[in-house]
Amino acid sequence: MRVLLVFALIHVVGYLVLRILAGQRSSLLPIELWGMSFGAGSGVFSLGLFYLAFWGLPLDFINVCILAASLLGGSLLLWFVLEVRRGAHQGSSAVAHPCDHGVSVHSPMSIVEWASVAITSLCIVIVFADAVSQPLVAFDARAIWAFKAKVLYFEEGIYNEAFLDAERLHAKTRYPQLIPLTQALIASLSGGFDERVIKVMFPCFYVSLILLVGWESGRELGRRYGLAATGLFASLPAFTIYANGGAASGYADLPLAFYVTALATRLLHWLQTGSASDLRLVALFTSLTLFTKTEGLALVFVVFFATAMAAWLVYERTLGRLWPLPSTALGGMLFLTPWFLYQRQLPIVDEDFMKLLTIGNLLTGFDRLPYILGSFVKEFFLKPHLWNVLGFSAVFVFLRSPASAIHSRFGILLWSALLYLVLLCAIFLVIPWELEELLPVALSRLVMHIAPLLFLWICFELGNFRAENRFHLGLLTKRRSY
Amino acid sequence: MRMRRAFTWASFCFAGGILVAAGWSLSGRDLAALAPIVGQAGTPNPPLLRKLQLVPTLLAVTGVQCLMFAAIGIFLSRRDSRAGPNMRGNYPLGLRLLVAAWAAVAVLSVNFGAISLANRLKQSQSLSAAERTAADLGDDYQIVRDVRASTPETAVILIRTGRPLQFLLNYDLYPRKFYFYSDRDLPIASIPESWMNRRHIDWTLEISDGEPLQFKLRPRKASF
Repeated sequence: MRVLLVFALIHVVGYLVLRILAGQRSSLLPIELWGMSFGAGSGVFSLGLFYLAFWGLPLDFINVCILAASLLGGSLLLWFVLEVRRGAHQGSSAVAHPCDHGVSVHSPMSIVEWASVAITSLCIVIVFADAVSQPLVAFDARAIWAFKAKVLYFEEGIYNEAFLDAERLHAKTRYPQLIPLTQALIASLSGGFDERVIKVMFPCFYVSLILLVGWESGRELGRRYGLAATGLFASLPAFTIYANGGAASGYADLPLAFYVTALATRLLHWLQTGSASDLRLVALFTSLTLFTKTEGLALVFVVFFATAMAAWLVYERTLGRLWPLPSTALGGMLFLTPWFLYQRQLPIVDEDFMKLLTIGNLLTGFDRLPYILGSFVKEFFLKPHLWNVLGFSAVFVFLRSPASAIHSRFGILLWSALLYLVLLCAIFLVIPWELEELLPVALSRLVMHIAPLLFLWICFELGNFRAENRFHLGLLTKRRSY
Repeated sequence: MRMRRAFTWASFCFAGGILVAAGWSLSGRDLAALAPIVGQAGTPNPPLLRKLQLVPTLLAVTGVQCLMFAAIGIFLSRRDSRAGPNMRGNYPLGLRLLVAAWAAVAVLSVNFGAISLANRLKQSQSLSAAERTAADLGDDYQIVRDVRASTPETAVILIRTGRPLQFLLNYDLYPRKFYFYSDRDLPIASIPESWMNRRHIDWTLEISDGEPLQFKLRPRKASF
């Protein structure tokens, strides 16, 4: 019961924060906000806990409760004030609520829709059952994330030798702390460090990601195809059955995939509507993407870069009208100032990629390129047991009309994914590790970060194709009737 | 239209029959040859081999589902001529094939998830959390047991190994503190006493880097 209350608390706080940030004129439905609320709630709580720890306050039960109460109370109060204001202005402000999603809930569902819902539900049940039925067994889940969570929970802070002493054994000391702080929060409020309980957060992220992808694809494809796409996405083996990175494994890659998908889709909406409410959510998801894993920095960079390029070249915005992008990115990073300050105190035990990425190193490592490219091809096309036919689908959609794919209004999703792969390629060129040992175990998890973006791009392009098809069919019918 | 539907259901029957036959013929066989294709590191390991043993069941279950789907489809087609796959349209053959392939792999993947979960629950029903972890980690877990049994929770341990296993020990044996000397190749005997004393090291643990897994856990006479 207590565990359920903790998860409900994270959900509610996440929902309220999203609701407040989205504002009155948001095009997001409450149910869409609910979909994203667990991820947002985890992020907000972990940031709050980190601020407490940064200022030297112990993360004991009392302080965690005070933080939870103040976050809940504060967000409820703000939400209430905004709702009252909204009520007062309802006559004058026309809220653009989305009735044109093509997701009519009133028409009866077809067999295909029921089958898609059944597959999605079955995947969720499998992932939850898998998570709660066994303790943490995957390597990173134990050695990296749960170890940090244990230190945060039992030592109640971040200024201890487990983090700060370079000779104390600690895997990936400098990794951001969203995941372990959320685990410590769950442990603290649920009454103890139980691996099976703290593991439940990962299936929750999985459900959030499914709902996010489902709503976004439904928006473009309509209810029937949106549901079918959701079923296909939910059943991606990399999420459901992959032991070292899947939704039940306890790795941080799925939460990172969720945050970067939320970030990219909000930016896409901003490109399409220019709405400020999207930018507020973008700032939040920028912070949370950066605070989840080191790769978040690369992802944030490529997503913002792709958005700026698309705004300039596809949406034909002048450079002067692009100022919200850097200011939002900066705003998102500002939330993390304490983390960046703290990170400077952490010992550098592992390799520093930023320092390794020099022209000289890239040229030296150039002979690794064939192996790296071969591994990428193998990952996308020869691993249906992880990615189904995602790679083939992307190639199919691209080859259908390369020119329109490049200039597509959904291009930021494709370009973010491709730029990320280029960046990964560059890192693999300079990394001082044996690639034959590293790539087979790391690449699948890295691809997981951009898989939802690639999937959404495929869906959106197919939706476009469907609309064109309908348009041509309509023209043909008209001609025949003449 | 009827012809197309008949062809669809016949395909499902055919695929179902083949899958059931394949599952039947593969049951009991050594499927380690599949490890390089589906495994991460390309080499067979015990958890992967355990999963591969489920492949015949997966094929058989999916085959039965195909047959059932075909039977239900035929029944519904007779009852209502509008029933059946209704996602056809003017889409290219390539796209339809892709969606069909995606759906096929999705069904296999969901089935595998369910079978694997059921199998694991059946096998580990009576095990405690620690026993499940031990079962999953295999021989490596022996070292966790030994260190836990021999050292107090307050122990400060110098560890010397290149194995990633050290990080699992770090987690499993918390709150014991593990330290490593910055020159990881230096034998424990050559590590300066002053450094050991400064760190309050009271145990040393040396684990072999190569196979087989061997380790030496020794108390250290502290002089701090």
